Amino acid sequence: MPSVPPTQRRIALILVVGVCSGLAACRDKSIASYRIPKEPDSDQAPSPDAAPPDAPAIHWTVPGGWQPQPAGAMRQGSFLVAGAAGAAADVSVVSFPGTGGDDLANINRWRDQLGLAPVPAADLSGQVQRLTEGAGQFVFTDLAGAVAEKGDVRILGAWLRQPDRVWFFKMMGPSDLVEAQRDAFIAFLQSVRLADGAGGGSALAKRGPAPSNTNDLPRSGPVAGVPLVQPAAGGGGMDSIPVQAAGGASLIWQAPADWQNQPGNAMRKGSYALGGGAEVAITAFPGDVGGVLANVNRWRGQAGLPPVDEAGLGQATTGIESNGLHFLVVDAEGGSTSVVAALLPWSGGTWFFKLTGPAEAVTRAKPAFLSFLKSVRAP
Amino acid sequence: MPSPRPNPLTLFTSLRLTVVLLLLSIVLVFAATLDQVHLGVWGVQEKYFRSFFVFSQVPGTGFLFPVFPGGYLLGGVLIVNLVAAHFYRFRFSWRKSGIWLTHVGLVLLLVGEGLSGILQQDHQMRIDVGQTRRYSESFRETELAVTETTHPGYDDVVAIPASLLTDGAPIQHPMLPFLVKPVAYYPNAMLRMRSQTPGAPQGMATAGEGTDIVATPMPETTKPDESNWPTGYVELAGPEGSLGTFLVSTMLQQSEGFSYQGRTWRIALRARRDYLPFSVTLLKFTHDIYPGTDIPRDFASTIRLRSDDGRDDREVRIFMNNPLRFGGRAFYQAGYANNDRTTVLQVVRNPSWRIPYLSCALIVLGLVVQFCIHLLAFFRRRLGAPAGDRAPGVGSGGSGPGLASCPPPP
Repeated sequence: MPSVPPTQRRIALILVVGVCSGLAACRDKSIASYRIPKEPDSDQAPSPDAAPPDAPAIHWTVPGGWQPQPAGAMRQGSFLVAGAAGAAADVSVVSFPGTGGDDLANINRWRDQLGLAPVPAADLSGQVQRLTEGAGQFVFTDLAGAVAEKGDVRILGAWLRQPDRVWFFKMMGPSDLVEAQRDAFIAFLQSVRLADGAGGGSALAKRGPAPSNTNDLPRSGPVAGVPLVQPAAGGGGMDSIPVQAAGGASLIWQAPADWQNQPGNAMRKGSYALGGGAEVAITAFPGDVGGVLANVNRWRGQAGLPPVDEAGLGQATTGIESNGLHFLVVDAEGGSTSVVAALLPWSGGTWFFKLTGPAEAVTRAKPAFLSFLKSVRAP
Repeated sequence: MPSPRPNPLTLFTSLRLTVVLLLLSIVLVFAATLDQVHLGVWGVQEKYFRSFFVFSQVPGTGFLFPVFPGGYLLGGVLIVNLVAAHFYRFRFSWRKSGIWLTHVGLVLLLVGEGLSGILQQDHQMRIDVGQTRRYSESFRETELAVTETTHPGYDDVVAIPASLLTDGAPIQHPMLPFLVKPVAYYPNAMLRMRSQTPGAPQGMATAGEGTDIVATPMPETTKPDESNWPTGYVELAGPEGSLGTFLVSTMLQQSEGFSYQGRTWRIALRARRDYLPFSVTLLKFTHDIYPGTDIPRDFASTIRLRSDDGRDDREVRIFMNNPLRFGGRAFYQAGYANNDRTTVLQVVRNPSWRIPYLSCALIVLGLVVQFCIHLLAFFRRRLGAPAGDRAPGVGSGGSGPGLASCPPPP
């Protein structure tokens, strides 16, 4: 039988290991030099008026009194707002690829700049508001603090997420001046237009990680071909919204006039901001979506409450009959976050109506939410 | 009678070694899966699979010591074991040609994966509609680009891998009339305007925009939806002394410019670029979604491909699962941005990309050949052919191709 002599095999093994090590070590260690044709921006000094070459196009209307400043390496926009007695506030527009960190990190970063202690995640909703403007949904915050040598300082800040990048808009300066400029800053946000509108993004990023809670799906902007939930005409101050279910059937409801309609998405059939950080989300799915107990315990978990078993289900839920529909309502009142949710098996699927937010705001909104449930009806 | 010392031949041809290697591989995959939470997919691949040993750090020190064999070592020994056992146990005959082919295919598969791990480069190319690109950018690697822009027709680029910025050793290159001294390097950092960061310590930058910016080192992130922002300070020094210390960061969207000896330069930290001997122009991008959802159904880029030597000038449509292969690279449709006006192509350069196809073909061919040999022998037996023509194992329960069908070692 022909077999490889041990010496040769040893040499061969050493060679294989050596070549592999060499190849691995050669990666990423050498300095490269090359000549390339002139690139359009390579020999030009940064222009104060020009956006960076790779930056996406953005447009806005500058409020009166804001003095444009050189944008610099980091900023897409920079303005100086002069006040009385030499006071000045700085306005910046900055864009980063990716998600730009979560909301809590952004808030606490700015709080740190004002000498404020960071807030826990449970208090985040009390720190931000959501403004839906032409460019999309801004997360807006108004923070006041004190900084050594500068006195009372205030930040008006907002960020706007696109699937592949995030935009930060920020005014920082003396409290009195920033307070006086608040309307101008909001008007500035309202004037923002991204080239060709918001939307798009990496296919993977757009889908994102699989959500653990179907009612907490990330929101997205309007997508071509996906009908958004829009108020029907002639609502008399109340929104009357037909919503298509997966099977083609629809439900109709009437939302209170002071609920702010938010853009829906492929999963959310309706979405409302109620103030104080509370929101209502309406979703529908085929089948029983894991059953009543699993959904009840999921909501209780979100409120920080322990799960219940089948025996405790009766105490944890109440039934509401309205318009021939039978809702199972869960009132999960937590220490900082509360959830009031209704589950409605209907037309071969399951509809979820969920009010969630800071405990105080949810308690305040609960009567209106229960009244809202009674407005839901089949067509 | 047992040998006084282990025989290497026995060791490398041992089926016990095969089993041990497979068990170690299972443990390696399990440990890597658990550690993926901390390191992310890329980090786990580098630490566990594309290494000869898995290293661990002694707590409180920077000392690393190997704790487990890595993927290269296990795979390499497995190849040696497979080849050695094959040569040692098998006697070539046409009746076993299928088994031979199958084993050659398996060895090729292992070799191909090893080569891919070492040689494959994953880059991306982002192009707006109407824009032309002639380079791709690395997902993870970063480089310090020092570019002389004096000539009106071209730029001369010196690209220094970021890995050379970490040890602080001065860098001299024949194309640069000054030294590049790395002062500090952070794999991830957050930049803030100094005017908005009261009380921030004095920065190291003495020239350029970086003097107005505060760089705060941050822990590296491995989350798939977050990015690291490599940042550093580099000092340029000529014979007459320092030219200044610049802040460089992938977070900065513009490079820093300066003049020296009557020539103009730009310096920037950026994703590592791979310049191509051809250009790609995005003519059109289309994006279809499934009705009622935002799930992509199909997205496609129509590009114009022009090679520098003038041999190729054509339009190509790249869409899902239909990459363009050109110039030793494969261009896959990977994503889109900017409201469907920007396409994102994944550019993969893998000289060994054909090996998995070849190895799978060999395995299939080997299995088919072996099956046909057995089938033929079966028919011969049914037709009363002489017993001496029967293949071993046929008619006795029929063991399939593989080591189990081999005669025992002498």
